[in-house]
Amino acid sequence: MTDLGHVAIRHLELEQFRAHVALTLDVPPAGLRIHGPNGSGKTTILEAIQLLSTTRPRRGALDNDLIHHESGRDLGLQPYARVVGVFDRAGAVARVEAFIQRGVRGNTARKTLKVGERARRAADVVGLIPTVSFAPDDLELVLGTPSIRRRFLDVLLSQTDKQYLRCLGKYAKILAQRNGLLRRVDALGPTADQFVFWDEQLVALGSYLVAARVRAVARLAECAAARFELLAPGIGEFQLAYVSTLDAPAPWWRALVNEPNDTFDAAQRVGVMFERRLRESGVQERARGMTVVGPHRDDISVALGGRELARFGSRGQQRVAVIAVKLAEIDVISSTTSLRPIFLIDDVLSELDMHRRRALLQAVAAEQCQLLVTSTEAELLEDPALTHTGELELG
Amino acid sequence: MRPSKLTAEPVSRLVDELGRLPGIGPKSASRLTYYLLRASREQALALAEAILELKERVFLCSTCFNITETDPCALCLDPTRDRSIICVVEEPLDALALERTGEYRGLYHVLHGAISPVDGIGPDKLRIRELLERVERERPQEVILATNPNIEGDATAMYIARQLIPRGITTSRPASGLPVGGDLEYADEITLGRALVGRRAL
Ligand SMILES: [Zn+2]
Repeated sequence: MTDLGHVAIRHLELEQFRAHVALTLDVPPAGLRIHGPNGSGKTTILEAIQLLSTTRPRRGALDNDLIHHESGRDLGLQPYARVVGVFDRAGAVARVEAFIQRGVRGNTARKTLKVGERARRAADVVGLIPTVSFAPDDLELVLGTPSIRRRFLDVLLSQTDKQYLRCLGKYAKILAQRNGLLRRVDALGPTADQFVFWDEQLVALGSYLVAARVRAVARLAECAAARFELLAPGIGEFQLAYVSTLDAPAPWWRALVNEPNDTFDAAQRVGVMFERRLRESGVQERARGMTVVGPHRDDISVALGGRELARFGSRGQQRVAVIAVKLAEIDVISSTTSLRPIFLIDDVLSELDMHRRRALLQAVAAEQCQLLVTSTEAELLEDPALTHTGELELG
Repeated sequence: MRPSKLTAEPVSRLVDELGRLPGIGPKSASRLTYYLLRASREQALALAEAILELKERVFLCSTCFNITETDPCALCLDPTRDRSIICVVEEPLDALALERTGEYRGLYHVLHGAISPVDGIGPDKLRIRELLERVERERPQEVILATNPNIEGDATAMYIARQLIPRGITTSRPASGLPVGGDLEYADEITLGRALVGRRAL
């Protein structure tokens, strides 16, 4: 834990960003506690920082949704939104800007990203300012659908592995095309040679995703188990494991974590397995008109002492599990990027009892992460761990 | 758009027709229609004639499937072109862009699209069968697969290469694509690292 670079937002500017027509904010090094009624734009402030960190709006939102609908009108411009963040990053200052403008036609929006004064592609911005976000969605990590856990991994890995980010975007496109082909399978439908390209790409890209996830979950599991033990001592070992539709025996997966030098080597091995499983599932996928094996169907299992937490755990244990996973996310990002991520807590404190709330805030403070936290109730933000943070009240 | 009783039949007919054009939604279609309604008779006629002329005088070259007013097209007939190379492109505009560079002296073959199963475009919807017949007939030394540098373009190039290689035809694919509005995002994705090495070779 030595020599970690500090990352903190120092200054934030929102212009025509959702409901904020113009907002300028200085953030103290320790962070900021933000309170105000629903709809006052608390979440939006965190979303703006997340946008600069991951280049994406929060889950379920589109770039277009970020634009204040009346913006630009008085200037005769297409509606737009702008976010500028000035960050401390490992001793240097980094200025990151996102500018989104609605297209002339339909629901399109164009996003321009800048670091300093230079335009950058999304892949070069992601990972620059690492963040860990704890939002109401995350409370579903244990009980929710596999897609929530996959997305959690995708967000984490996109910040720590550029190759992952590239493969992820391309995999989705290849998958959609391959499923398109599968839907057209009938007597006169596509012949085997039409699958060659899509199969090869699916396997090459998907293998990288699976290999990266397996290795990340192994690291995450270790950290999360330690975190869980600190939060709830002596009630059993907390276990996370990657569950893949590629369906190989456990020792094979363990070897994948321990042996290969890097993710590319691991991906080569996964590729062999993926190819075989793809062949085996041919009948099933043609019947269902979709690709049934691959990282888009995988999951993470969450267990306590060998028993599935979603089915056998108490609500309290499930909450502790979510906190442990979120704190473990700090550990994984710190160890892979050598940077302390900014921690964003959006509106979840009211879902935790006082004991767990305090444990979460103390753990984040102990990591010396900058912490921005929102709540509708100001009193939930009165915690010793937040003493040095600034306060912002929105009306 | 349902024709309503408030709208004259010719108006809703034109709105429907314009609405079928790529990139034009119902809103734009209405706007264009009402614009034309107010426009001078001369302007409306000029547009109608331009469309008619396009359909009557321009057709596809039966050899290279580029757009032409004569068949075969001027380029296919040009004795100074290098007949040992055929460059395969997606659209007539791609051939035009390549011509503008002045670097290429061979022949073209226009596919009129790229393989995209999601959109229901398979090899049979493109001029691929015609390309294979042409290659058998003309036996060029090399076929350059200059489809767009995106997933669909890659899929198309790969599919064609797999047909040509057993026929003993050398195929190649420009590494960075054409100087034709190829999407920037892709330019860096092409280097997918070691995981894809070997798979990309045609
Ligand atoms: Zn021709």
